Amino acid sequence: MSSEVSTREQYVSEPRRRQLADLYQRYRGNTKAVLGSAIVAVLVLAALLGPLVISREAATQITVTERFMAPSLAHPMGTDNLGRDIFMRVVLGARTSLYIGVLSVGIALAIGVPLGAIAGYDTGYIDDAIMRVMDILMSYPPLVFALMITAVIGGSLTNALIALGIVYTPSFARVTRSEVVSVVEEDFVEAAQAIGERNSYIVFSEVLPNALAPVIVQATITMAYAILTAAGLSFLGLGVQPPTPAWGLMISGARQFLVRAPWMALFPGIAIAITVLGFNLFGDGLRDVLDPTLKND
Amino acid sequence: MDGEGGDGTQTEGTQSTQVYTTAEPDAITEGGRLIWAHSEQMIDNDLHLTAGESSYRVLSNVHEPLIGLSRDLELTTDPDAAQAGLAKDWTAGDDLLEYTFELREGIMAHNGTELTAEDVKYTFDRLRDPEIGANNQFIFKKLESTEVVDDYTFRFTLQNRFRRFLAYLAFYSSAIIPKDTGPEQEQNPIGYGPFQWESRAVGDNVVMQAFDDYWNDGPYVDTLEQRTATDPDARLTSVQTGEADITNDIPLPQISDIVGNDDNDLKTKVWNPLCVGYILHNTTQPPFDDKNFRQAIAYAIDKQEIVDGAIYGHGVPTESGILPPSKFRNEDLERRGQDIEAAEQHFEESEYDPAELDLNFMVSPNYPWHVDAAQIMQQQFSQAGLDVEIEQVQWNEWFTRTGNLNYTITFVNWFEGWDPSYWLRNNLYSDGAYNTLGYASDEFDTAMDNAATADTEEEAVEYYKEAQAIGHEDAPIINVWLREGALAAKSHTQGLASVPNSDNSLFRFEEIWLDE
Amino acid sequence: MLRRLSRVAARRVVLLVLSLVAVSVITFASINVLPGDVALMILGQQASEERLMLLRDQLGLNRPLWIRYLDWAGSLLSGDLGQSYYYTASVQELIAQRLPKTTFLALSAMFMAVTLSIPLGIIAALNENQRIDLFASLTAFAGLSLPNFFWGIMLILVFAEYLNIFPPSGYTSPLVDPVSAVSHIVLPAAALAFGLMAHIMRMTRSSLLEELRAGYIQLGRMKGMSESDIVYRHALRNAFLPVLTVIGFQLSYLFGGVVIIEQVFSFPGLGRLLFNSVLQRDVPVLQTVVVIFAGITMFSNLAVDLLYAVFDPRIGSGGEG
Repeated sequence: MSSEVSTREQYVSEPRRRQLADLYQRYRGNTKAVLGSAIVAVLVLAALLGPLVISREAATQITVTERFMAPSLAHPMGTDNLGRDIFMRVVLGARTSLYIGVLSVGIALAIGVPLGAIAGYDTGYIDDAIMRVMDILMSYPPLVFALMITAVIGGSLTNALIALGIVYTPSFARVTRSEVVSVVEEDFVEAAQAIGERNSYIVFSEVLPNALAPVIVQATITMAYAILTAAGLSFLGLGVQPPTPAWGLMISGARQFLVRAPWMALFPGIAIAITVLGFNLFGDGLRDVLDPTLKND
Repeated sequence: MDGEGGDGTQTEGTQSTQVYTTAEPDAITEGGRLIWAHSEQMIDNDLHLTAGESSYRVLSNVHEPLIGLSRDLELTTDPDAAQAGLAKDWTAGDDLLEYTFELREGIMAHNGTELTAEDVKYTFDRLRDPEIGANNQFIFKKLESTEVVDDYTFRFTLQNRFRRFLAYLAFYSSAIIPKDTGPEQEQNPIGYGPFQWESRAVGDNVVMQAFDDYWNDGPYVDTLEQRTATDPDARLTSVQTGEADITNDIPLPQISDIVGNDDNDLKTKVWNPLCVGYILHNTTQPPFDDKNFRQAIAYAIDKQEIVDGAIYGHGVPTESGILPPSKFRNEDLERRGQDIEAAEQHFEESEYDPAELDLNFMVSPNYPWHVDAAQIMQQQFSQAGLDVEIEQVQWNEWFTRTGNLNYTITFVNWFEGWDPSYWLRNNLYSDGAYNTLGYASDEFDTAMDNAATADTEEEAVEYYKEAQAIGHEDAPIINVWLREGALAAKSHTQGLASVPNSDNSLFRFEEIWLDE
Repeated sequence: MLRRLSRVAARRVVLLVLSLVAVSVITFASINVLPGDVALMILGQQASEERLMLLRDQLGLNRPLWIRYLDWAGSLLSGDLGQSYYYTASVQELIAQRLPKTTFLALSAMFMAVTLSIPLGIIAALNENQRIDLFASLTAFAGLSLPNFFWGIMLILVFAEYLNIFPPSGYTSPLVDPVSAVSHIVLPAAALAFGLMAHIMRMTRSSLLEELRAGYIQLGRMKGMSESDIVYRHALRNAFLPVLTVIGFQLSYLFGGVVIIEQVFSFPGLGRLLFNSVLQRDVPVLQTVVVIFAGITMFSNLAVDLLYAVFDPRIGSGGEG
């Protein structure tokens, strides 16, 4: 990736535009990225448009006489034990999953990236201190940490995503830090330091934009994990309350009816799988696109 | 012992011809380990202090009540009754204030001591001691005196007449414990029952050994092991695969599939009623401090839809919480639901506007069907203009929160409601042990007191019915369903006629044997 | 080499201990800021105020937070961890009963994952971009994308309910009845293994591919070494290390997954204990088990780092793993 200094007169400099065009070409050529982003796009659409088209009332409408119906035209994914349409619930579940994914990753980004940047830029004990704390946080298995937090502040959706946000912070800090460390050694940073720019300015305007690529990749991959872990939490009953449609909760409720109505567990499970797959593919592809020289992890 | 199964419903299919009776003594094979997948988790080990039917169901195998109970819900001294008690006979003074009990002789406790009147007095004194805080203290505090007349004769007097006092002596929550064993009951329950407590490992398993010196028939198995299996599917599967020999509650959606099915390997039994399911209101806080609001709820719900939806038709709607066939049950209570107009009208007449309220319907996922019922009710409420959110809360937190009146509306079940005093007094009397409603009605209390002190049984019945009517009108609780019970056992498990207990809820295993 | 290794090890062990202390502080602080009256939760609403106060005293709840922390930290070292609020057993009894079971489950899952995914990864690498490679990638992704509880439920449905080969729940000790132990552990271990397999397989594949492209391999080919010699003697050995790292890092996921899988299979292990202690707000159990989980992760990371140091002398002391 070229590391030319962007001139501050133009909004997007010429080299930058070439860079972006380059990226786009590479993106188009990378199957994983394209497929992954397509899936993510569908997910985002479902999450955004779903609630507009499907009201919460419709998705939680209990009609006892229509319970356990197999998939049909009227109910493309069948109905559950209370007669609710599973297709509607799966679609609305996308919103819940995306909500958790975006917010927990958002929290992790908001805390982890600045911390990592500071740690990478500094070479002294601040670096050590921050990374030690990150290491310690990383030794908690994410689910265990989330469970611990929900034991304290209760098992609601918001609490779950705060917990996950904290748990994912260290990986963002690490990635940011290692990127920052390598960028810091570049000439343009020395130049900025030489002309006396403030450190904070250097970090946030010069260093970070160049370090962003791996962070973006990390964000997409962490999304996948966040959605998976959140599904686990709602499966355990900590996270969302019924009758909110959430994929993990739907699978948990389907356990009793596996033989009678396997579609109750099947469709939410597939939804989770496709979502996670989508984000993983997208992240993998992005990694290839943004830096083809990076090795597979 | 009495053999009939106590099940009202006969199942269809190949099972219908099999009536569970106890066989002749020589047909019984002794020995073996009976593994019981219990639908609930025990809370505490001390019989007098523990709350929750879950604990009683296990502890009833270790303890013995003073008075027996027949299948017809009559108190009895018959040693062959479905539930037999430690008392050989009793006499009541004319004014129903003084009672003299004659104990059976030669009854041994697990700690090797013989039952004497001293043990009974010790138990009664423990139950009435406010410091100990037993569940039935609010009843036993009515005792005037307890007296050891001689080794096998015990006498007590009441401060005032209380007709149903004796019924409390048939409940395991008042079972007799050997003298001075109170403090150790929590660690190591000791009693006069057919099984001896061995261990409670890791909160999931309780192991009990057969007590050889048990005074009555049985037990036939050597070891009784209770395994906590709160997951409805898992407990049924464990019986199907043979991991467990019996479960006391099979998942409701499955009942129709399993019962009456041509499965030679599994035996089932269905009975009605198991328990009453009811809504509780916290009457100390808005909006349920307003009677109109509570009645609106009663009009908003469609009990049949709840029965069909949540318990798959395995129950009947009910207005009264007293279990049939009790003569005290008031069958004339007005059926209210579902009448959305009336509900809206009552909301209107109350001082609160449902549209402005943000309520939580608390429910415990230990009972998945309660969660389903809550969701159905949520929908029914919204038809009348009230929106609630469901709040799932774990079982012992549920207990704590209802105890602290830290809830608004919730749903739960009550077992052993065959006795009118036990049900009504415990829940609705102003100082009832389970009055987690904040309900205190002079009218109701008076009707209950009249019932307790009535001169004749007929009068008492009338007063109890009146109390139910008052409760129905005030609606601090709203009874919703009488639920069926269903058990499943591996085919080698015999003696199923003896379970459940006369009260339709407890499981005593002393007449069960394994045919292997 | 040994001296350098022991220097690395010593430094890391010291770091580990300090980190454990930090974990214990964070855990204790998080959990004990609990609102709610613990005494009331244990005794129930019937209890008199005197009983409540007595219990609070007995549990030491009236002491300042830092003293309570020191007390608990000390108990972690001595092994006498106090009474559970919920079960009638001491915390150390509960842990002693359950830790071996969860360990058995975790090791079985890892064993399954490794024995399946490494060969698969090797085959995929050796047949790059052919159908079998794609198939392997697909299965890896499937294992990664479907949540482990979903696998668990499906496995129960197929193997326990329909086919009736394995039991759907429970545990038997391998010391008591090895056959029964294996049959009880297969399904839960498999459910866990699927999630692990993806990463291990992919790392095996990519690491091996990288080695196979490396210069010295070409050299070996030119010198006339046999293909299998190249693969098994040289490439694999060098490819092994990153795979080991991945395995090590999976342990953290494994112990998170154990919590869910033990729920699905009613497996009486540490994960289930953790979950129950969360539900029951059983503080003594909760804080200790969380520290144990974090500690296990730390130890396994340390083990991976040390193994790395042993097998790859290129990494000097004090390097990041």
